[in-house]
Amino acid sequence: MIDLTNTQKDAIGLNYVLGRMTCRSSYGGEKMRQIAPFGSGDEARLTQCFDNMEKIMAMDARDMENLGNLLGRFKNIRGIVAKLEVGTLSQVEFFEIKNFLLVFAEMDINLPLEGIFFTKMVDVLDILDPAGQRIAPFSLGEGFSADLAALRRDKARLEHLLQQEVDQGQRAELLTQRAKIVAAEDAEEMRVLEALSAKLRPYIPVFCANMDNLGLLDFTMAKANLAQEYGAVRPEISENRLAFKNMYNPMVAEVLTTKNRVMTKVSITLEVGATIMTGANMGGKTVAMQTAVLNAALGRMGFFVFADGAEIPLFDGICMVAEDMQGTGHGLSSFGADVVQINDIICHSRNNFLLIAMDEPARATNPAEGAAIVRALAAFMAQKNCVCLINTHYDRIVRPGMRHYQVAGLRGGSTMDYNLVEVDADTAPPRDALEICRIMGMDRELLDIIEKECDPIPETTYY
Amino acid sequence: MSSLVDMLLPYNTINIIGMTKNAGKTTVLNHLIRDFGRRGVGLALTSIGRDGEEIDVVTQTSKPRIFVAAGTIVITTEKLLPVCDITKEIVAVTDFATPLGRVVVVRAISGGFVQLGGPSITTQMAVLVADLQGLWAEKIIIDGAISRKSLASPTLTQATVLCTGAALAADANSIIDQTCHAVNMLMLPKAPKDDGDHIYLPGAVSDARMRELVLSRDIKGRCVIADDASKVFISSDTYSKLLTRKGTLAVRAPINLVAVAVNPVSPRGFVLDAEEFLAKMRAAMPIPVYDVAQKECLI
Repeated sequence: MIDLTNTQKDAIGLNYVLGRMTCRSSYGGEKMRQIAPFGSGDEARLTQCFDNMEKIMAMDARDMENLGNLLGRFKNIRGIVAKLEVGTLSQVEFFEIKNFLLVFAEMDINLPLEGIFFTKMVDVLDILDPAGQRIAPFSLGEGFSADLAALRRDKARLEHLLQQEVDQGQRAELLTQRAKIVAAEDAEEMRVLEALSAKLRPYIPVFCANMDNLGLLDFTMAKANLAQEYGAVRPEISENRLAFKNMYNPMVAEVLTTKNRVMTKVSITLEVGATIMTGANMGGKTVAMQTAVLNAALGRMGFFVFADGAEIPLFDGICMVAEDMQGTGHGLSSFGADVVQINDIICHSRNNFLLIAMDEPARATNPAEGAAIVRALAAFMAQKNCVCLINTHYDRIVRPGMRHYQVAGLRGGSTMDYNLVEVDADTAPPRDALEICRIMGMDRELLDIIEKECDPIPETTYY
Repeated sequence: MSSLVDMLLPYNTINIIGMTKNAGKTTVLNHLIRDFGRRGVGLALTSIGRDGEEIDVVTQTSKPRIFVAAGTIVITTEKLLPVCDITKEIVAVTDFATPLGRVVVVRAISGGFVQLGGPSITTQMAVLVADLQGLWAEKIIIDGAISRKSLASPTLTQATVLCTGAALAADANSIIDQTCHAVNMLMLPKAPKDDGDHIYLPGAVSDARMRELVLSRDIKGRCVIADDASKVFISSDTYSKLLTRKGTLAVRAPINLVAVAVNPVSPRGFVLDAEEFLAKMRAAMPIPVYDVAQKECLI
């Protein structure tokens, strides 16, 4: 299925958000690496996932902290369990299994969560700790074999004799006897290890299921913590509308915070069909688009979203057309890269419900044909079963029935208003470029020439 | 004169280092294991790098094996565990990786021959030593680096024993001279508070760097400060020049060198006169010198 490229995931801040998560165990880390979006038909599973996050967020903070610390104490025994399937474990490996079981025994496994189940393993722990001491050290104690007990008594007796003996010949004789006992002890220990491995082997599926569920629990807790830290909200799963109230992008927000600025939260509603976004340069069209895509992508991966409210449908895929140098790296011009990407998207959109975001498509060709291409693209997408958002500077793209958002912009002043305003279809994109040049301190001599060129501002002649 | 083990009794962490391979570190370790054992002191043993093998893997010479008593805490690595013939209780498996597997902590349920292992990274060793002290043992002995130059492990421990001997040179006087200089460097005093007049040299203090300093600057009455003795690589000639010009050398992290142990036997086959060698060493050294093998029987 079509998805964002890794460069796009970087650009919109998705990788940034995932990097803010901390799983406590390597099992949670596994789940995070295997993260896959929910698609159409997964509504029940996604609801369950959000329900679980809400339940975790409602639990006592100290209990959750303790549970997190407990999860952090689990070592990854997947390799050992895989070895158990085909062979005999060593004493060190049994030590690790025993300690996994000891930590597991400390855990309250009756959490009120849906779809995260644990199976008790007390009987397995009893195999490795028959005396019920429940302490970390592991030895092949004499309880495992009567022969071992006898051999160790002999070994101790010889050691005692060796300590007393000063005659080198006698010592050599005792050392030889000891070597024989050590060999017999080794053999018997191996037999015990084999027997223990055979006893544990039937529990492999239980180990695997519990490790999977530990991962799921850890990952869900990490998502819940992230949501709490940022005040993210649970999105509603909608039929086909994508809407955000006061959405923001934590990556952009952090960059602005370091510059003592605050990110403007914007609201946007996208229905099936095409939505056009126009507005001043530097007005935040790209950021708004990236923020919408980021939150839509997070929602479908089972995350809460960075907004005051959200409606997200179950897309089959999300894709972007944006200048990310991917195409140009393969020897295409930026226009050529657009064409390839658009074709790919159209191909996928035939049988799938997609979120399609295009950031100034065809910007790199001549304005006459570029505008015609975007106009056609918008009309074409409006007919498709997809949610499509197009950012553009071109005029007369919006047709009746399409939504049109515009960045509030400069409005004649010199401060940028980043808010999005829904405007009529025939509202022309603002002519703010010259003002932006002034605000940004363009060379005076050049600016004079530009001003002469723009006087009067030329009407669109390309049509 | 009190015995080596008496001298070491007040310290909880002891490091044994050698001037060279086959300087007798393992013999000293076995001696300490036995004598501390007789006094009922619980020991934990670890090593910086591999030790305890019957044939020295670096120089291919036979060497004594380490024999521990029941109850000893042995730190080794996963791959060395099968060659330890003690009955084992696994106490902990650390996350410290070595080429011979992870570092593991084992309690000896029986006595037996062991091969020690341990982290070769100073910070990891510091963590391990702290854990061992907190949990498992009264006294920790680290079978340390081959030469003081390779690792700063002595700064982790409260007391250090330097092993030296015929493996270093064929001539007793040469051994004594080299050892004397090493002892001087290991016993460099703690640096005074830096009042701006002293010269701090971070990182390695090479012979060339020190010579340049001695020749180019007015060193009289000033103190050259290094991080610790393991960073100081100057020759005894250069050190003499510094002292002649009334300069001094000190370290930020001093080492507590408490004794020198000598081994009159060379792995290449020749043997110095043990008593004469010991007497000469004792006359030359500012700290007690022992030859633990003179009254030693093996295990």
